[in-house]
Amino acid sequence: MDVFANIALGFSVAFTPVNLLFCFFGVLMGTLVGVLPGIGTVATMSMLLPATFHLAPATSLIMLAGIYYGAQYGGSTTAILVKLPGEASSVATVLDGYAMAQKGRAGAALTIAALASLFAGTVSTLLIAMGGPVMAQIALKFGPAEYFSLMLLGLVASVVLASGSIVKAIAMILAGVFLGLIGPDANSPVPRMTFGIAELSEGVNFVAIAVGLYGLSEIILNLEQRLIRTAPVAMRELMPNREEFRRSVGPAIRGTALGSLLGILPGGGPLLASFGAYALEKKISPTPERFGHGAPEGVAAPEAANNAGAQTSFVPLLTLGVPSNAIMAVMAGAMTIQGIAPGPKVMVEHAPLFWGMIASMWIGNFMLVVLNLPLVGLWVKLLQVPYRILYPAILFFCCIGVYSISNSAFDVYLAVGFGIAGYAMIKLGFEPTPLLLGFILGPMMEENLKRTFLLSGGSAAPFYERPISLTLLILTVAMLLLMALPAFKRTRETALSAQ
Amino acid sequence: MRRLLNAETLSGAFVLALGGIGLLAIGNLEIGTLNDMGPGYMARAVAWAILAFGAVILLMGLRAEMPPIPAMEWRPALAISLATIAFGATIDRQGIVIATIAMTVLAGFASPITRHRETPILAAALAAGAALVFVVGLKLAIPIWPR
Repeated sequence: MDVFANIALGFSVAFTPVNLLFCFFGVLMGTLVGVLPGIGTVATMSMLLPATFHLAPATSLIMLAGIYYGAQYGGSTTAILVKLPGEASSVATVLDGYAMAQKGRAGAALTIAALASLFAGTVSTLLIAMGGPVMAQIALKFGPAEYFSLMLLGLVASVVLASGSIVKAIAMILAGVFLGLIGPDANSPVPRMTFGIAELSEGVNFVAIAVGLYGLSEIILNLEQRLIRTAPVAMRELMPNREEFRRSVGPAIRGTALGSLLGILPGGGPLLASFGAYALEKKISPTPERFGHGAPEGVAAPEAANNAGAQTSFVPLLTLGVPSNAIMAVMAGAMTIQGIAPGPKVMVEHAPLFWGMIASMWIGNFMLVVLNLPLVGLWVKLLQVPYRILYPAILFFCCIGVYSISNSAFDVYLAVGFGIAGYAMIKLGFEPTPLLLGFILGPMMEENLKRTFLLSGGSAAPFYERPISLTLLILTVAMLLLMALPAFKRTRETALSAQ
Repeated sequence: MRRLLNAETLSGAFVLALGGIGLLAIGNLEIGTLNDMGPGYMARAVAWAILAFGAVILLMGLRAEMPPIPAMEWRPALAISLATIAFGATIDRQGIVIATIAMTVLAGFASPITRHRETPILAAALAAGAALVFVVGLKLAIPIWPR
């Protein structure tokens, strides 16, 4: 089958009324989640997992994917209008988006963001359609050594985008890996490192960690800062003028390219993509001093990149079976619920599902432009709810989200522990994201490390004798060396301190 | 004299504590050999690596003048924790209505931005919404009223 036959198959699946409806529901939920700070994508998707039991596999994945990329759009709306990034991946958009809004160009910034996202979504969907099968071919050559090296690269890559100290970021990764190892152990019937707590025998609940680190600690930090809502900026016109449009085209294209690339990287995804694209535009711009003061390039590039990165981060999951970030881990969970093992076989054995999901992303991106531009007034209204009303509601969603995963009060207490720890950690300059990624990849790395040494009889040779693994390891080392370079350190600090 | 206790030394101590708890949790888990790793192999390696990084952070904090320990505000942290714990402690037996009300009331003490005369309305609205959406609508297996 060639690409077009595949895409046609995808559209025939995605255009059924049920799938269109759930695609719409997904992007609507996603926009809502993106607009409201304090309710994360991960928590929302996890909460809806039980609801997907009764849906067809393709339908449930289409809906969940919609939440994910919908949140990218919603997050940028609040970033531009009230200087509050609803999602971490829109942090880079705040700088110039809000500055544009203050100059009375809020409508233009929103349109640039939406169009750049749509463009990126379209291109990256095509890229997945063309590149997916190639990746799946490569994936068939992957043994445990390659998987281990790939995940190591992903973890090291995640350090690059963690703000603050590199040493602290690595410490967080390691802590995450350790947390991931708690609980079930393939070799023995006795759960390990649980201090005898029965609730931990299945491992630490992922949602409890995510909600604690991202949900609860964010509420605490917001309250501490006496978060006062900035009044949303009034909007005059939605259309960017010729100058703004001209300035946005190049950054949108480069953002799409960089975002697609960084999204594929394990440990990558929309967050890395948006920061990378912003830094790149600032670097190559002849007038970098305009950045931060309402440069349309600073909106177009990260918005294109985060959407492209969100789409292409499905590639490692669907072709290698390796989730590259927390959200992909939830997607992997959803696939497992439906009895589909994520990996290279998905494309062959579940072709309608794979291509249907890809086609739905394209449709969903169109829905989002329609949802976001004409209805932006509605989202702004939602933002006028004062935080003193909003935070108990967000806290409620955190509680019910964690509790409903397995009706366990223990998980709620666990979330409290992670919330407090997360608050103290953020105050001390630690980042939660490396921890979460370590948590997801840790157990898989252990498994592949074990298998490699078991097959080689205790020799490390497979890691450096197999070309793919060697390449991945060289990339990992190169990245570490790069981070040690003083020049890179400075660039990274300026790029990240921009938040 | 340089401050011995600063943000970095405290961070280092925190990471060292994490590694220590890790080693405690591992206890005497079987290590195994490189070609047949036991459940304690990678866990131990990771715990020792955590300790090493904790030591590095601590030493770097001792070596130079570092920013002081940031001021923590315990009121929001405490109130939000208590509110969440109250939710967990009541939802199983007292049901979603009481759990949500308890949570909202306690959360109201987290910050001076709260207007306490609004709390009853907010609690009632959240509790009603919670019961309707999650128990009636999404059919989660949670009781509405005490059982």
